[in-house]
Amino acid sequence: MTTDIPAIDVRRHPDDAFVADVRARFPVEREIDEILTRKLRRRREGPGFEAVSIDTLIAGTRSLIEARLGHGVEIANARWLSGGASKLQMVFDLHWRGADDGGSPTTTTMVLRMEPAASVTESSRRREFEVIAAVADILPVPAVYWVDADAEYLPYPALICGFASGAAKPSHDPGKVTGLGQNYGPELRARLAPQFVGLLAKLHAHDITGRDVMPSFDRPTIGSNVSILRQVNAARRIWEEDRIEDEPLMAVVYKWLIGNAPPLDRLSIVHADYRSGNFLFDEAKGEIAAWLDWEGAVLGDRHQDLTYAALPLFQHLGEDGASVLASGMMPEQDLYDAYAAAAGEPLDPVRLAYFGVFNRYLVCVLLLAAAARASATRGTHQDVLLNHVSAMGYATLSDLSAYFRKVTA
Amino acid sequence: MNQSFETELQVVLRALGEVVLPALDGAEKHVVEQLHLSMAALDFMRQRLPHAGRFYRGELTAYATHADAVADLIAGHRGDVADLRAQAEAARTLLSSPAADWSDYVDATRRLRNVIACVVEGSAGAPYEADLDALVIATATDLHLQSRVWCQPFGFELKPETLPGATWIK
Repeated sequence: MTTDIPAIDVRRHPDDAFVADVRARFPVEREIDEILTRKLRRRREGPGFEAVSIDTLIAGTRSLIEARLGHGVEIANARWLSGGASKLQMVFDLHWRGADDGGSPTTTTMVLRMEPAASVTESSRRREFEVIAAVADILPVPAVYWVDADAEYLPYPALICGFASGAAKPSHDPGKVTGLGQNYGPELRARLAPQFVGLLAKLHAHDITGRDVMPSFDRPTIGSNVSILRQVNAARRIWEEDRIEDEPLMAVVYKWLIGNAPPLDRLSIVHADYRSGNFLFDEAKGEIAAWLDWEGAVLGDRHQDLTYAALPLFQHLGEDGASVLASGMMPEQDLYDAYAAAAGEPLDPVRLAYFGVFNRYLVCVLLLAAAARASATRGTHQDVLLNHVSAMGYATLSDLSAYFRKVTA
Repeated sequence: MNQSFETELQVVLRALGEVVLPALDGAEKHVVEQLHLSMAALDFMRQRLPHAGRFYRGELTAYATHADAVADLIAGHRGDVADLRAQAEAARTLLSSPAADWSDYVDATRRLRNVIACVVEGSAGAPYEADLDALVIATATDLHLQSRVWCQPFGFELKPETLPGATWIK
Protein backbone atom coordinates (compact mmCIF):
# COMPACT_ATOMS: atom_id res chain seq x y z
CA MET A 1 0.00 0.00 0.00
CA THR A 2 1.16 3.56 -0.54
CA THR A 3 1.41 4.74 3.02
CA ASP A 4 4.66 6.64 2.95
CA ILE A 5 7.81 7.19 0.95
CA PRO A 6 11.18 5.97 2.21
CA ALA A 7 13.63 8.72 3.13
CA ILE A 8 15.92 7.89 0.21
CA ASP A 9 13.66 7.90 -2.80
CA VAL A 10 15.25 8.64 -6.15
CA ARG A 11 11.82 9.34 -7.60
CA ARG A 12 11.23 12.13 -5.13
CA HIS A 13 14.67 13.61 -5.77
CA PRO A 14 15.46 12.45 -9.31
CA ASP A 15 19.12 13.03 -10.16
CA ASP A 16 20.50 13.52 -13.67
CA ALA A 17 21.43 9.85 -13.99
CA PHE A 18 17.87 8.77 -13.18
CA VAL A 19 16.40 11.25 -15.66
CA ALA A 20 18.82 10.19 -18.39
CA ASP A 21 18.08 6.53 -17.72
CA VAL A 22 14.29 6.78 -18.07
CA ARG A 23 14.64 8.94 -21.18
CA ALA A 24 16.91 6.38 -22.79
CA ARG A 25 14.90 3.31 -21.80
CA PHE A 26 11.48 4.59 -22.79
CA PRO A 27 11.46 6.48 -26.11
CA VAL A 28 8.39 8.73 -26.41
CA GLU A 29 7.17 11.59 -28.61
CA ARG A 30 9.33 14.74 -28.52
CA GLU A 31 6.81 16.92 -26.72
CA ILE A 32 5.97 14.17 -24.22
CA ASP A 33 9.67 13.73 -23.48
CA GLU A 34 9.94 17.44 -22.85
CA ILE A 35 7.07 17.67 -20.38
CA LEU A 36 8.00 14.50 -18.50
CA THR A 37 11.59 15.68 -18.19
CA ARG A 38 10.36 19.08 -17.04
CA LYS A 39 8.21 17.37 -14.42
CA LEU A 40 11.22 15.56 -12.94
CA ARG A 41 13.36 18.69 -12.88
CA ARG A 42 10.55 20.66 -11.27
CA ARG A 43 10.15 17.94 -8.65
CA ARG A 44 13.87 17.97 -7.92
CA GLU A 45 14.47 21.69 -7.98
CA GLY A 46 11.14 22.87 -6.64
CA PRO A 47 9.52 24.83 -5.37
CA GLY A 48 6.56 22.56 -4.65
CA PHE A 49 3.10 23.79 -5.45
CA GLU A 50 2.02 26.82 -3.48
CA ALA A 51 -1.47 28.21 -3.54
CA VAL A 52 -1.81 30.78 -6.31
CA SER A 53 -3.95 33.82 -5.63
CA ILE A 54 -6.57 34.81 -8.12
CA ASP A 55 -4.88 38.22 -8.37
CA THR A 56 -1.70 36.52 -9.57
CA LEU A 57 -3.67 34.66 -12.20
CA ILE A 58 -5.44 37.82 -13.33
CA ALA A 59 -2.15 39.67 -13.69
CA GLY A 60 -0.52 36.80 -15.59
CA THR A 61 -3.54 36.35 -17.82
CA ARG A 62 -3.62 40.03 -18.68
CA SER A 63 0.10 40.01 -19.49
CA LEU A 64 -0.30 36.98 -21.73
CA ILE A 65 -3.24 38.40 -23.65
CA GLU A 66 -1.71 41.84 -24.04
CA ALA A 67 1.54 40.33 -25.27
CA ARG A 68 -0.31 38.27 -27.85
CA LEU A 69 -2.60 41.10 -28.98
CA GLY A 70 -0.20 43.96 -28.71
CA HIS A 71 -2.66 46.22 -26.95
CA GLY A 72 -4.33 46.59 -23.57
CA VAL A 73 -7.38 44.65 -22.37
CA GLU A 74 -9.54 44.62 -19.27
CA ILE A 75 -10.28 41.53 -17.19
CA ALA A 76 -13.30 41.49 -14.89
CA ASN A 77 -15.41 39.18 -12.80
CA ALA A 78 -12.64 36.61 -12.30
CA ARG A 79 -13.49 33.64 -10.09
CA TRP A 80 -12.42 30.03 -9.55
CA LEU A 81 -13.95 27.32 -11.69
CA SER A 82 -14.25 23.91 -10.05
CA GLY A 83 -14.27 20.55 -11.78
CA GLY A 84 -11.74 18.03 -13.00
CA ALA A 85 -8.89 16.35 -11.21
CA SER A 86 -5.93 17.99 -12.83
CA LYS A 87 -6.03 21.64 -13.85
CA LEU A 88 -6.45 24.85 -11.91
CA GLN A 89 -9.12 26.93 -13.64
CA MET A 90 -10.27 30.53 -13.51
CA VAL A 91 -13.24 31.95 -15.39
CA PHE A 92 -13.25 35.65 -16.29
CA ASP A 93 -14.78 38.24 -18.58
CA LEU A 94 -12.49 39.82 -21.16
CA HIS A 95 -13.47 43.30 -22.31
CA TRP A 96 -11.84 43.83 -25.70
CA ARG A 97 -12.38 44.88 -29.30
CA GLY A 98 -11.36 41.61 -30.94
CA ALA A 99 -7.95 40.43 -32.00
CA ASP A 100 -7.07 43.53 -34.04
CA ASP A 101 -8.55 45.97 -31.52
CA GLY A 102 -10.64 47.41 -34.35
CA GLY A 103 -14.06 45.95 -33.62
CA SER A 104 -16.86 47.09 -31.42
CA PRO A 105 -16.34 46.79 -27.67
CA THR A 106 -17.36 43.32 -26.60
CA THR A 107 -17.21 41.05 -23.58
CA THR A 108 -16.15 37.41 -23.93
CA THR A 109 -16.27 34.97 -21.04
CA MET A 110 -13.11 32.87 -21.01
CA VAL A 111 -11.39 30.19 -18.95
CA LEU A 112 -7.77 30.01 -17.92
CA ARG A 113 -6.56 26.40 -17.57
CA MET A 114 -3.27 26.21 -15.73
CA GLU A 115 -1.47 23.09 -14.60
CA PRO A 116 -0.26 22.78 -11.01
CA ALA A 117 3.27 21.63 -10.07
CA ALA A 118 2.26 17.99 -10.46
CA SER A 119 -0.71 16.27 -11.98
CA VAL A 120 -2.48 12.96 -12.46
CA THR A 121 -1.97 13.58 -16.18
CA GLU A 122 1.25 15.45 -16.86
CA SER A 123 0.48 16.96 -20.23
CA SER A 124 1.30 19.68 -22.71
CA ARG A 125 -0.74 22.85 -22.92
CA ARG A 126 0.72 23.31 -26.41
CA ARG A 127 -0.71 19.98 -27.57
CA GLU A 128 -4.04 20.63 -25.85
CA PHE A 129 -4.27 23.96 -27.66
CA GLU A 130 -3.39 22.42 -31.02
CA VAL A 131 -5.82 19.51 -30.86
CA ILE A 132 -8.78 21.63 -29.79
CA ALA A 133 -8.04 23.98 -32.67
CA ALA A 134 -7.83 21.01 -35.05
CA VAL A 135 -11.27 19.64 -34.13
CA ALA A 136 -13.10 22.94 -33.65
CA ASP A 137 -14.88 22.64 -37.00
CA ILE A 138 -16.27 19.17 -36.41
CA LEU A 139 -16.99 18.83 -32.68
CA PRO A 140 -18.49 21.09 -30.04
CA VAL A 141 -15.41 22.29 -28.15
CA PRO A 142 -14.49 25.52 -26.37
CA ALA A 143 -12.78 28.05 -28.64
CA VAL A 144 -9.05 28.28 -27.89
CA TYR A 145 -7.45 31.72 -27.86
CA TRP A 146 -3.93 31.80 -26.46
CA VAL A 147 -1.40 29.48 -24.88
CA ASP A 148 1.45 30.11 -22.45
CA ALA A 149 3.13 26.78 -23.10
CA ASP A 150 6.37 27.56 -21.28
CA ALA A 151 4.98 29.61 -18.39
CA GLU A 152 6.37 32.93 -19.58
CA TYR A 153 3.49 34.90 -18.11
CA LEU A 154 1.83 32.61 -15.57
CA PRO A 155 3.28 30.58 -12.68
CA TYR A 156 2.81 27.33 -14.66
CA PRO A 157 1.98 26.53 -18.32
CA ALA A 158 -1.58 27.51 -19.20
CA LEU A 159 -4.03 28.10 -21.99
CA ILE A 160 -7.02 30.36 -22.42
CA CYS A 161 -10.19 29.08 -24.01
CA GLY A 162 -13.77 30.16 -24.29
CA PHE A 163 -16.23 29.41 -21.52
CA ALA A 164 -18.54 26.59 -22.53
CA SER A 165 -21.98 26.53 -20.97
CA GLY A 166 -23.52 23.34 -19.72
CA ALA A 167 -23.48 20.84 -16.88
CA ALA A 168 -20.91 18.11 -16.34
CA LYS A 169 -23.15 16.25 -13.91
CA PRO A 170 -26.94 15.84 -13.96
CA SER A 171 -28.82 17.69 -11.26
CA HIS A 172 -30.11 14.44 -9.74
CA ASP A 173 -26.58 12.99 -9.24
CA PRO A 174 -24.12 15.84 -8.66
CA GLY A 175 -21.77 14.12 -6.19
CA LYS A 176 -19.53 11.97 -8.41
CA VAL A 177 -15.83 12.90 -8.27
CA THR A 178 -14.69 14.00 -11.77
CA GLY A 179 -17.72 12.20 -13.19
CA LEU A 180 -16.46 8.69 -12.42
CA GLY A 181 -19.41 6.27 -12.43
CA GLN A 182 -21.70 9.09 -13.48
CA ASN A 183 -25.36 8.06 -13.75
CA TYR A 184 -27.24 10.31 -16.19
CA GLY A 185 -30.57 8.56 -15.59
CA PRO A 186 -32.65 6.80 -18.24
CA GLU A 187 -34.20 9.82 -19.96
CA LEU A 188 -31.06 11.91 -20.31
CA ARG A 189 -29.02 8.83 -21.14
CA ALA A 190 -31.30 7.96 -24.05
CA ARG A 191 -30.66 11.38 -25.57
CA LEU A 192 -26.96 11.68 -24.80
CA ALA A 193 -25.86 8.16 -25.77
CA PRO A 194 -26.32 8.49 -29.56
CA GLN A 195 -24.40 11.78 -29.49
CA PHE A 196 -21.68 10.22 -27.35
CA VAL A 197 -21.15 7.55 -30.01
CA GLY A 198 -21.74 9.71 -33.06
CA LEU A 199 -19.30 12.42 -32.05
CA LEU A 200 -16.62 9.83 -31.38
CA ALA A 201 -17.05 8.31 -34.83
CA LYS A 202 -16.91 11.82 -36.31
CA LEU A 203 -13.71 12.62 -34.44
CA HIS A 204 -12.02 9.45 -35.62
CA ALA A 205 -13.08 10.00 -39.22
CA HIS A 206 -11.61 13.50 -39.27
CA ASP A 207 -8.80 13.30 -41.81
CA ILE A 208 -5.78 15.47 -41.09
CA THR A 209 -3.54 13.79 -43.63
CA GLY A 210 -1.49 16.40 -45.46
CA ARG A 211 -2.81 19.21 -43.26
CA ASP A 212 -0.44 21.44 -41.35
CA VAL A 213 -2.08 20.97 -37.96
CA MET A 214 -1.01 19.61 -34.57
CA PRO A 215 2.74 20.20 -35.08
CA SER A 216 3.61 19.12 -31.53
CA PHE A 217 2.37 15.61 -32.26
CA ASP A 218 4.76 13.16 -33.91
CA ARG A 219 2.97 11.89 -37.02
CA PRO A 220 2.53 8.10 -36.95
CA THR A 221 3.22 5.96 -39.99
CA ILE A 222 0.45 3.73 -41.26
CA GLY A 223 1.52 0.09 -41.15
CA SER A 224 3.97 0.71 -38.32
CA ASN A 225 3.43 0.12 -34.61
CA VAL A 226 6.02 2.69 -33.52
CA SER A 227 3.40 5.24 -32.46
CA ILE A 228 1.68 2.64 -30.29
CA LEU A 229 5.00 1.63 -28.76
CA ARG A 230 5.69 5.27 -27.93
CA GLN A 231 2.43 5.45 -26.04
CA VAL A 232 3.17 2.24 -24.14
CA ASN A 233 6.60 3.62 -23.30
CA ALA A 234 5.13 6.92 -22.17
CA ALA A 235 2.92 5.04 -19.71
CA ARG A 236 5.83 2.91 -18.57
CA ARG A 237 8.04 5.95 -18.18
CA ILE A 238 5.46 7.60 -15.91
CA TRP A 239 5.31 4.38 -13.91
CA GLU A 240 9.08 4.40 -13.52
CA GLU A 241 9.16 8.09 -12.61
CA ASP A 242 6.23 8.28 -10.22
CA ARG A 243 5.43 4.95 -8.61
CA ILE A 244 5.54 4.69 -4.85
CA GLU A 245 6.09 0.94 -4.95
CA ASP A 246 6.65 -1.56 -7.73
CA GLU A 247 4.09 -4.09 -8.90
CA PRO A 248 5.21 -7.33 -10.61
CA LEU A 249 2.04 -7.58 -12.70
CA MET A 250 2.82 -4.23 -14.33
CA ALA A 251 6.14 -5.64 -15.54
CA VAL A 252 4.39 -8.67 -17.05
CA VAL A 253 1.81 -6.57 -18.87
CA TYR A 254 4.39 -4.07 -20.16
CA LYS A 255 6.32 -6.87 -21.86
CA TRP A 256 3.11 -8.09 -23.50
CA LEU A 257 2.13 -4.60 -24.67
CA ILE A 258 5.53 -4.15 -26.29
CA GLY A 259 5.47 -7.58 -27.88
CA ASN A 260 1.93 -7.37 -29.22
CA ALA A 261 1.50 -3.75 -30.37
CA PRO A 262 -0.53 -3.81 -33.60
CA PRO A 263 0.49 -1.75 -36.62
CA LEU A 264 -1.62 1.34 -37.18
CA ASP A 265 -4.23 0.65 -39.88
CA ARG A 266 -5.70 4.15 -40.05
CA LEU A 267 -4.76 7.47 -38.50
CA SER A 268 -7.26 9.06 -36.13
CA ILE A 269 -7.24 11.84 -33.62
CA VAL A 270 -7.72 9.99 -30.33
CA HIS A 271 -9.16 11.98 -27.43
CA ALA A 272 -7.67 9.45 -24.97
CA ASP A 273 -9.99 10.49 -22.11
CA TYR A 274 -13.36 10.05 -23.85
CA ARG A 275 -15.78 9.12 -21.06
CA SER A 276 -18.59 10.21 -18.82
CA GLY A 277 -17.73 13.36 -16.93
CA ASN A 278 -15.60 14.85 -19.69
CA PHE A 279 -18.32 16.62 -21.63
CA LEU A 280 -20.78 19.36 -20.83
CA PHE A 281 -24.43 19.02 -21.74
CA ASP A 282 -27.63 21.02 -21.82
CA GLU A 283 -29.80 19.11 -19.38
CA ALA A 284 -33.09 20.54 -20.66
CA LYS A 285 -32.36 19.80 -24.31
CA GLY A 286 -30.38 16.60 -23.69
CA GLU A 287 -27.60 17.83 -25.97
CA ILE A 288 -23.85 17.55 -25.62
CA ALA A 289 -22.60 21.14 -25.58
CA ALA A 290 -18.82 20.74 -25.40
CA TRP A 291 -16.17 18.05 -25.23
CA LEU A 292 -13.49 18.87 -22.67
CA ASP A 293 -10.17 17.55 -21.36
CA TRP A 294 -8.21 17.11 -24.58
CA GLU A 295 -4.85 17.25 -22.86
CA GLY A 296 -4.03 13.57 -23.33
CA ALA A 297 -4.99 13.43 -27.01
CA VAL A 298 -2.78 11.47 -29.38
CA LEU A 299 -2.65 10.55 -33.03
CA GLY A 300 -3.37 6.87 -33.17
CA ASP A 301 -5.91 4.08 -33.25
CA ARG A 302 -9.68 4.59 -32.85
CA HIS A 303 -10.01 1.40 -30.77
CA GLN A 304 -8.14 3.18 -27.99
CA ASP A 305 -10.97 5.63 -27.30
CA LEU A 306 -13.66 2.96 -27.49
CA THR A 307 -12.07 0.62 -24.99
CA TYR A 308 -11.27 3.55 -22.72
CA ALA A 309 -14.91 4.66 -22.62
CA ALA A 310 -15.85 1.10 -21.66
CA LEU A 311 -13.43 0.80 -18.71
CA PRO A 312 -15.02 -0.48 -15.49
CA LEU A 313 -13.86 2.69 -13.75
CA PHE A 314 -16.46 4.66 -15.71
CA GLN A 315 -19.30 2.15 -15.49
CA HIS A 316 -22.31 1.90 -13.28
CA LEU A 317 -25.20 -0.51 -12.89
CA GLY A 318 -28.34 0.17 -14.89
CA GLU A 319 -31.77 0.61 -13.34
CA ASP A 320 -32.43 -3.13 -13.76
CA GLY A 321 -29.60 -3.83 -11.32
CA ALA A 322 -27.94 -6.22 -13.77
CA SER A 323 -26.78 -4.44 -16.91
CA VAL A 324 -23.48 -2.55 -16.67
CA LEU A 325 -23.42 0.74 -18.56
CA ALA A 326 -20.14 1.85 -20.13
CA SER A 327 -19.53 5.54 -19.37
CA GLY A 328 -23.12 5.63 -18.12
CA MET A 329 -24.36 5.19 -21.69
CA MET A 330 -24.95 1.57 -22.71
CA PRO A 331 -23.50 -1.92 -22.24
CA GLU A 332 -19.99 -2.37 -23.64
CA GLN A 333 -20.94 -4.54 -26.61
CA ASP A 334 -23.80 -2.18 -27.51
CA LEU A 335 -21.30 0.69 -27.46
CA TYR A 336 -19.05 -1.13 -29.91
CA ASP A 337 -21.97 -2.08 -32.16
CA ALA A 338 -23.33 1.47 -32.16
CA TYR A 339 -19.90 2.88 -32.97
CA ALA A 340 -19.38 0.40 -35.82
CA ALA A 341 -22.76 1.41 -37.24
CA ALA A 342 -21.97 5.11 -36.91
CA ALA A 343 -18.49 4.69 -38.42
CA GLY A 344 -19.73 2.44 -41.19
CA GLU A 345 -17.06 -0.20 -40.64
CA PRO A 346 -16.56 -3.13 -38.29
CA LEU A 347 -14.22 -3.02 -35.33
CA ASP A 348 -11.18 -5.26 -35.07
CA PRO A 349 -11.50 -7.63 -32.07
CA VAL A 350 -7.72 -8.01 -31.83
CA ARG A 351 -7.24 -4.27 -31.52
CA LEU A 352 -10.14 -4.02 -29.08
CA ALA A 353 -8.43 -6.61 -26.88
CA TYR A 354 -5.03 -4.90 -27.17
CA PHE A 355 -6.29 -1.46 -26.28
CA GLY A 356 -8.47 -2.94 -23.56
CA VAL A 357 -5.24 -4.08 -21.91
CA PHE A 358 -3.40 -0.86 -22.75
CA ASN A 359 -6.06 1.40 -21.22
CA ARG A 360 -6.26 -0.67 -18.05
CA TYR A 361 -2.48 -0.52 -17.79
CA LEU A 362 -2.51 3.24 -18.38
CA VAL A 363 -5.16 3.88 -15.73
CA CYS A 364 -3.19 1.82 -13.22
CA VAL A 365 -0.17 4.01 -14.00
CA LEU A 366 -2.12 7.22 -13.60
CA LEU A 367 -3.81 6.21 -10.35
CA LEU A 368 -1.18 4.11 -8.56
CA ALA A 369 1.81 6.14 -9.72
CA ALA A 370 1.01 9.66 -10.99
CA ALA A 371 -1.88 10.50 -8.66
CA ALA A 372 -0.25 8.90 -5.63
CA ARG A 373 3.04 10.70 -6.28
CA ALA A 374 1.45 14.07 -6.99
CA SER A 375 -0.51 14.02 -3.74
CA ALA A 376 2.38 12.62 -1.67
CA THR A 377 4.68 15.38 -2.89
CA ARG A 378 2.10 18.14 -2.21
CA GLY A 379 2.17 18.86 -5.91
CA THR A 380 -1.32 20.16 -6.58
CA HIS A 381 -4.15 22.42 -5.45
CA GLN A 382 -6.27 19.38 -4.64
CA ASP A 383 -3.99 16.72 -3.17
CA VAL A 384 -6.91 15.30 -1.21
CA LEU A 385 -8.75 14.56 -4.46
CA LEU A 386 -5.74 12.90 -6.11
CA ASN A 387 -5.09 10.87 -2.98
CA HIS A 388 -8.73 9.79 -3.06
CA VAL A 389 -8.69 8.65 -6.69
CA SER A 390 -5.35 6.91 -6.24
CA ALA A 391 -7.15 4.43 -3.99
CA MET A 392 -9.21 3.40 -7.03
CA GLY A 393 -5.97 2.01 -8.44
CA TYR A 394 -6.35 -1.30 -6.65
CA ALA A 395 -9.70 -2.01 -8.31
CA THR A 396 -8.17 -1.11 -11.68
CA LEU A 397 -5.15 -3.32 -10.97
CA SER A 398 -7.44 -6.20 -10.10
CA ASP A 399 -9.41 -5.56 -13.29
CA LEU A 400 -6.18 -5.43 -15.34
CA SER A 401 -5.18 -8.79 -13.91
CA ALA A 402 -8.53 -10.41 -14.74
CA TYR A 403 -8.80 -8.85 -18.20
CA PHE A 404 -5.21 -9.73 -19.08
CA ARG A 405 -5.80 -13.35 -18.11
CA LYS A 406 -8.84 -13.43 -20.37
CA VAL A 407 -7.08 -11.85 -23.35
CA THR A 408 -3.96 -14.01 -23.11
CA ALA A 409 -5.72 -17.31 -22.29
CA MET B 1 -4.20 7.23 28.35
CA ASN B 2 -7.68 8.39 27.45
CA GLN B 3 -6.82 9.54 23.98
CA SER B 4 -7.33 6.84 21.36
CA PHE B 5 -6.99 7.12 17.60
CA GLU B 6 -10.58 5.94 17.24
CA THR B 7 -12.01 8.68 19.46
CA GLU B 8 -9.81 11.38 17.95
CA LEU B 9 -11.01 10.56 14.47
CA GLN B 10 -14.59 10.14 15.58
CA VAL B 11 -14.80 13.58 17.16
CA VAL B 12 -13.16 15.28 14.19
CA LEU B 13 -15.53 13.57 11.77
CA ARG B 14 -18.54 14.62 13.82
CA ALA B 15 -17.34 18.21 13.97
CA LEU B 16 -16.70 18.35 10.24
CA GLY B 17 -19.91 16.59 9.25
CA GLU B 18 -22.35 18.11 11.71
CA VAL B 19 -20.95 21.61 12.22
CA VAL B 20 -18.53 22.66 9.49
CA LEU B 21 -20.27 21.12 6.47
CA PRO B 22 -23.71 22.65 7.14
CA ALA B 23 -22.05 26.02 7.62
CA LEU B 24 -20.60 25.83 4.11
CA ASP B 25 -23.97 26.14 2.43
CA GLY B 26 -23.40 28.33 -0.60
CA ALA B 27 -19.61 27.90 -0.58
CA GLU B 28 -17.75 27.22 -3.81
CA LYS B 29 -18.14 23.66 -5.07
CA HIS B 30 -14.48 22.74 -4.80
CA VAL B 31 -14.42 23.81 -1.14
CA VAL B 32 -17.30 21.50 -0.26
CA GLU B 33 -15.81 18.71 -2.39
CA GLN B 34 -12.47 18.91 -0.61
CA LEU B 35 -14.24 18.76 2.75
CA HIS B 36 -16.16 15.65 1.68
CA LEU B 37 -12.93 14.04 0.47
CA SER B 38 -11.12 14.98 3.68
CA MET B 39 -13.87 13.33 5.68
CA ALA B 40 -13.64 10.23 3.47
CA ALA B 41 -9.89 10.05 4.14
CA LEU B 42 -10.41 10.38 7.87
CA ASP B 43 -13.16 7.79 7.87
CA PHE B 44 -10.88 5.40 5.98
CA MET B 45 -8.31 5.85 8.74
CA ARG B 46 -10.96 5.35 11.41
CA GLN B 47 -11.99 2.05 9.88
CA ARG B 48 -8.55 0.75 8.98
CA LEU B 49 -6.16 1.92 11.69
CA PRO B 50 -7.19 -0.82 14.13
CA HIS B 51 -6.32 -3.43 11.49
CA ALA B 52 -3.16 -1.86 10.02
CA GLY B 53 -0.64 -4.11 11.76
CA ARG B 54 -2.41 -7.30 10.73
CA PHE B 55 -3.02 -6.09 7.17
CA TYR B 56 0.58 -5.10 6.49
CA ARG B 57 1.81 -8.24 8.20
CA GLY B 58 -0.40 -10.29 5.90
CA GLU B 59 0.92 -8.47 2.83
CA LEU B 60 4.51 -9.08 3.85
CA THR B 61 3.85 -12.75 4.52
CA ALA B 62 2.21 -13.14 1.11
CA TYR B 63 5.08 -11.45 -0.74
CA ALA B 64 7.70 -13.47 1.12
CA THR B 65 5.92 -16.64 0.02
CA HIS B 66 5.67 -15.25 -3.50
CA ALA B 67 9.40 -14.48 -3.55
CA ASP B 68 10.15 -18.05 -2.48
CA ALA B 69 8.02 -19.39 -5.32
CA VAL B 70 9.73 -17.12 -7.86
CA ALA B 71 13.16 -18.14 -6.55
CA ASP B 72 12.25 -21.81 -6.85
CA LEU B 73 11.06 -21.27 -10.41
CA ILE B 74 14.14 -19.47 -11.70
CA ALA B 75 16.74 -21.40 -9.66
CA GLY B 76 19.37 -22.78 -12.01
CA HIS B 77 18.63 -20.14 -14.64
CA ARG B 78 19.77 -16.94 -13.00
CA GLY B 79 22.48 -15.81 -10.65
CA ASP B 80 20.39 -13.35 -8.62
CA VAL B 81 18.25 -15.94 -6.85
CA ALA B 82 20.32 -15.36 -3.74
CA ASP B 83 19.06 -11.77 -3.48
CA LEU B 84 15.47 -12.91 -3.79
CA ARG B 85 15.93 -15.55 -1.11
CA ALA B 86 17.77 -13.10 1.15
CA GLN B 87 14.91 -10.60 0.91
CA ALA B 88 12.38 -13.32 1.71
CA GLU B 89 14.45 -14.47 4.68
CA ALA B 90 14.77 -10.89 5.94
CA ALA B 91 10.99 -10.61 5.76
CA ARG B 92 10.52 -13.72 7.86
CA THR B 93 13.02 -12.43 10.42
CA LEU B 94 11.05 -9.20 10.60
CA LEU B 95 7.77 -11.07 11.00
CA SER B 96 9.19 -12.95 13.96
CA SER B 97 10.51 -9.79 15.61
CA PRO B 98 8.29 -8.46 18.42
CA ALA B 99 9.84 -4.99 18.03
CA ALA B 100 8.82 -4.62 14.38
CA ASP B 101 5.90 -2.33 13.60
CA TRP B 102 3.83 -1.99 10.50
CA SER B 103 6.01 0.66 8.87
CA ASP B 104 8.81 -1.94 8.90
CA TYR B 105 6.46 -4.39 7.21
CA VAL B 106 5.61 -1.80 4.53
CA ASP B 107 9.29 -1.17 3.73
CA ALA B 108 10.11 -4.86 3.57
CA THR B 109 7.10 -5.55 1.35
CA ARG B 110 8.23 -2.82 -1.03
CA ARG B 111 11.67 -4.35 -1.27
CA LEU B 112 10.15 -7.73 -2.11
CA ARG B 113 7.80 -6.25 -4.70
CA ASN B 114 10.72 -4.45 -6.27
CA VAL B 115 13.00 -7.46 -6.49
CA ILE B 116 10.23 -9.66 -7.93
CA ALA B 117 9.34 -7.00 -10.53
CA CYS B 118 13.03 -6.72 -11.49
CA VAL B 119 13.19 -10.47 -12.06
CA VAL B 120 10.10 -10.25 -14.28
CA GLU B 121 11.57 -7.36 -16.27
CA GLY B 122 14.75 -9.30 -16.86
CA SER B 123 12.96 -12.44 -17.98
CA ALA B 124 12.18 -11.45 -21.59
CA GLY B 125 13.16 -14.34 -23.84
CA ALA B 126 14.27 -16.57 -20.97
CA PRO B 127 13.15 -20.22 -20.97
CA TYR B 128 11.24 -19.68 -17.74
CA GLU B 129 9.51 -16.46 -18.88
CA ALA B 130 6.07 -17.92 -19.56
CA ASP B 131 6.00 -19.86 -16.30
CA LEU B 132 7.15 -16.82 -14.33
CA ASP B 133 4.53 -14.59 -15.91
CA ALA B 134 1.86 -17.19 -15.15
CA LEU B 135 3.02 -17.41 -11.54
CA VAL B 136 2.91 -13.62 -11.11
CA ILE B 137 -0.54 -13.37 -12.65
CA ALA B 138 -1.91 -16.23 -10.55
CA THR B 139 -0.48 -14.79 -7.34
CA ALA B 140 -1.63 -11.27 -8.14
CA THR B 141 -5.29 -12.23 -8.12
CA ASP B 142 -5.62 -12.81 -4.38
CA LEU B 143 -3.22 -10.02 -3.44
CA HIS B 144 -5.10 -7.44 -5.47
CA LEU B 145 -8.46 -8.59 -4.17
CA GLN B 146 -7.25 -8.03 -0.61
CA SER B 147 -6.00 -4.55 -1.58
CA ARG B 148 -9.49 -3.80 -2.90
CA VAL B 149 -11.04 -5.02 0.32
CA TRP B 150 -8.66 -2.74 2.23
CA CYS B 151 -9.81 0.24 0.16
CA GLN B 152 -13.51 -0.66 0.38
CA PRO B 153 -14.35 2.21 2.79
CA PHE B 154 -13.80 4.64 -0.10
CA GLY B 155 -16.91 3.21 -1.76
CA PHE B 156 -15.54 2.64 -5.26
CA GLU B 157 -16.67 -0.96 -5.66
CA LEU B 158 -19.51 -1.58 -8.12
CA LYS B 159 -20.41 -4.92 -6.48
CA PRO B 160 -18.76 -4.98 -3.04
CA GLU B 161 -20.70 -8.11 -2.14
CA THR B 162 -18.59 -10.08 -4.63
CA LEU B 163 -15.31 -9.32 -2.84
CA PRO B 164 -13.78 -11.99 -0.59
CA GLY B 165 -13.59 -11.64 3.16
CA ALA B 166 -10.73 -9.71 4.72
CA THR B 167 -7.91 -12.12 5.54
CA TRP B 168 -6.54 -9.76 8.20
CA ILE B 169 -9.69 -9.88 10.34
CA LYS B 170 -9.55 -12.89 12.64
